[in-house]
Amino acid sequence: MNTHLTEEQISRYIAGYATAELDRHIVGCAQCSAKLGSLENIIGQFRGSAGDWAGRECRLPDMATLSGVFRRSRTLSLRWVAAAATLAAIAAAFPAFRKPVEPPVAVLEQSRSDEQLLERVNAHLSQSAPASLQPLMEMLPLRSDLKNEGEIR
Amino acid sequence: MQPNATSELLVTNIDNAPAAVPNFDEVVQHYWQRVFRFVLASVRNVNEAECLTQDCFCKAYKAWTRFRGDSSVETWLMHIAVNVVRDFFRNRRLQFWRSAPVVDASEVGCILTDRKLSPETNAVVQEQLRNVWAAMEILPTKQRTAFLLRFVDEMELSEIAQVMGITEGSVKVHLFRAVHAVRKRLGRS
Repeated sequence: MNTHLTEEQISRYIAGYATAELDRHIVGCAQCSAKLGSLENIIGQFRGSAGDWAGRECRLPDMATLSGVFRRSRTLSLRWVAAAATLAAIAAAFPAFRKPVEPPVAVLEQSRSDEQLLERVNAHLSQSAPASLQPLMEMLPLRSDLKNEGEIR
Repeated sequence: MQPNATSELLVTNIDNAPAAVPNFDEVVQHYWQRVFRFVLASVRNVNEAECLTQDCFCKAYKAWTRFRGDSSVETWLMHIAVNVVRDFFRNRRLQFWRSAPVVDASEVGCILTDRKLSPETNAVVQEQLRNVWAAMEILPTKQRTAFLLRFVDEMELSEIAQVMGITEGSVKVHLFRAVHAVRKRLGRS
């Protein structure tokens, strides 16, 4: 590699795309090596500043207090479960409280006329003699009357 | 990351006793600062970092009995921390009326004045640091997370992939974009 590394190649190298060829170039090229060193130095300073900042601000929690928080959070999640179960029960029971839906008037009338028709058909079928012989049937005494006469004899 | 005796002990305990809730105190003592450092660098606000770190350990406590020990405690905790921070920024996006936290450069800068640097060098370094922190504010969450885990927590690429739940190739892509953005920011100043 005769030319110097591009900005992108240096970024790639830092990001973990190092190859044997890039390694060789960096070892042999003072300018690229300095560029890379400078970037690594800035990253090192950043690591130091982040670590120092965290070290300065970090306060280890009191375990007794923290255990309380953990227990509370567990109780809280149990409460959520209980609340969800209650809501589900209410949602399931809700249709039971709803008023039954009235069928429309037209449907009611239709079913009424259907019932009347069925009654007429039933009455017609239950006749013992055809309609033309009905007057003769009326002239005959009832079966119960004949039975009574027999008993008297 | 050099595993020390305590972390090895914790991993052993977890492997042997998945329901070892009493040992959770040790986990808190050992990893609190580390998680706090990552969260603080991510959200750049001390109060919010404290709350989020507590949230993180609270979630870990609840899931402690389910932890199978497939990864180290550290990786597992950092995975929770990454999710907590992601959710924080997701919620924050909805709260558009709240401004993004801005790092007070003097807050970070005062740390550097303790170091044995000449005033000129100190000024240059502070300016560069201010730019890196400013870049952290504009980076997308995944890029910032990858950058912080790599360069602040000094994690290996494979560990970052595990913590972020992505492939190593994706980690490299996020890192490259983050480094490129930081370099652009530094070049602009």
